[in-house]
Amino acid sequence: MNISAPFPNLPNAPITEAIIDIVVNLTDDSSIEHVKSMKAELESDFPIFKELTSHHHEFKVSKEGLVQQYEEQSLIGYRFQSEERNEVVQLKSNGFTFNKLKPYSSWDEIFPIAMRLWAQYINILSPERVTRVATRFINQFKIPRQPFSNLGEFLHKPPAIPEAVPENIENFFSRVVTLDSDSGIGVTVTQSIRKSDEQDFLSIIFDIDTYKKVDYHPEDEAIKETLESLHEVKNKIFFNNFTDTTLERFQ
Amino acid sequence: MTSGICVIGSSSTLAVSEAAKYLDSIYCEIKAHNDESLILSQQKRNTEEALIDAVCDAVVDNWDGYGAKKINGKSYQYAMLFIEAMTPSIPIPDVSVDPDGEVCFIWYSHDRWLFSVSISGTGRLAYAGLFGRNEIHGNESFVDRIPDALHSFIKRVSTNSI
Repeated sequence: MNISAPFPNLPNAPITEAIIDIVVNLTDDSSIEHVKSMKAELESDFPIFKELTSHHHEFKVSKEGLVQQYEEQSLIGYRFQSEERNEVVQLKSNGFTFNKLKPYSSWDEIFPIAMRLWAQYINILSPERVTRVATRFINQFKIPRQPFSNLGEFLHKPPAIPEAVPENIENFFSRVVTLDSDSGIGVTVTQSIRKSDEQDFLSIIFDIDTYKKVDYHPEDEAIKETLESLHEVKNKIFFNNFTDTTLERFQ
Repeated sequence: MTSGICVIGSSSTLAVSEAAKYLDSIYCEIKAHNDESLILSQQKRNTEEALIDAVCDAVVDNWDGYGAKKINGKSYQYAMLFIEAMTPSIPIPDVSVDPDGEVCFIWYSHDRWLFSVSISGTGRLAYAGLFGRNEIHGNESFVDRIPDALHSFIKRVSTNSI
């Protein structure tokens, strides 16, 4: 099976979180605190504001016991969230992240929003270089809870049960990390099952993370082009890994 | 110290949803399960112990008596992530703290065959290598895996023998 572009838009796409992530190197003159000036500008769309901090605790122990403690908390960025709690933008000292939680609309809708916010981020912080770009789409959908051995009803590449092992699957976790050496695009696909809130159902999680190490100027159009390419790779993986029966559920 | 705590999620692109947190928790459980095996985790345990030993000696400024800065906390955190990312093919390095407070890993084969990686507080890897008459140096960013270039330099040092 090899479905290729153009891929259909799915009105009921099982995307529970879509992420656009850009990693940067800041110059020595940049300070993450400058991002706070964006608060007024973002407040109307993202009124929920939170500081992101990292904590570091050290201690030295000798034969006499605890000798020295040291604790440090540092600001690493800010998180802005929409009131409906389905869009988050994180502006950090090492990069920019836009999270779209369900309900997902479309790439054509969320990508321009993310790029507009990215433009504001680089305007404030003037990063030196972009070193990595990524998209990540976490899909989650329910299946009836029943003793089953054939996840092939839902996935084209379900986990293989080794010989002589009982076949009723209770749980599984699969993580595959690959790299296309021609394009430099890395892919991490994670699959798992989890219990659902509803007693008679389980959830399948299919997580597609596509990324590429780069060396771009922050205003280089190649950033958008690369993110678009990553999105296309994600689509190819998505549409080639679910059965027709499963895809019909997302129509 | 963070030894034994899962510091990397199931994916290198961090997410905030409940589904993502579930995947991270399962991934951490699996890593913890593997770490219970001495065989699977011995290399990382030994390197973590070497890192902790080095850091414990460098918790205050002028720890070496020559004005060295104390350990950079963020460099230490990235060093722990670096150890987590080490594959079994990477031999255990010598671990030290540089006078600027950054963690340094060194792989040494014999005279004029060595490779070092210093980890800054921003996750930048500054590397330098001496391979007989050849020298290299450069910088790479560390996100979640050790860059392929560094893998090859480490292998070059560790597989060279007189």
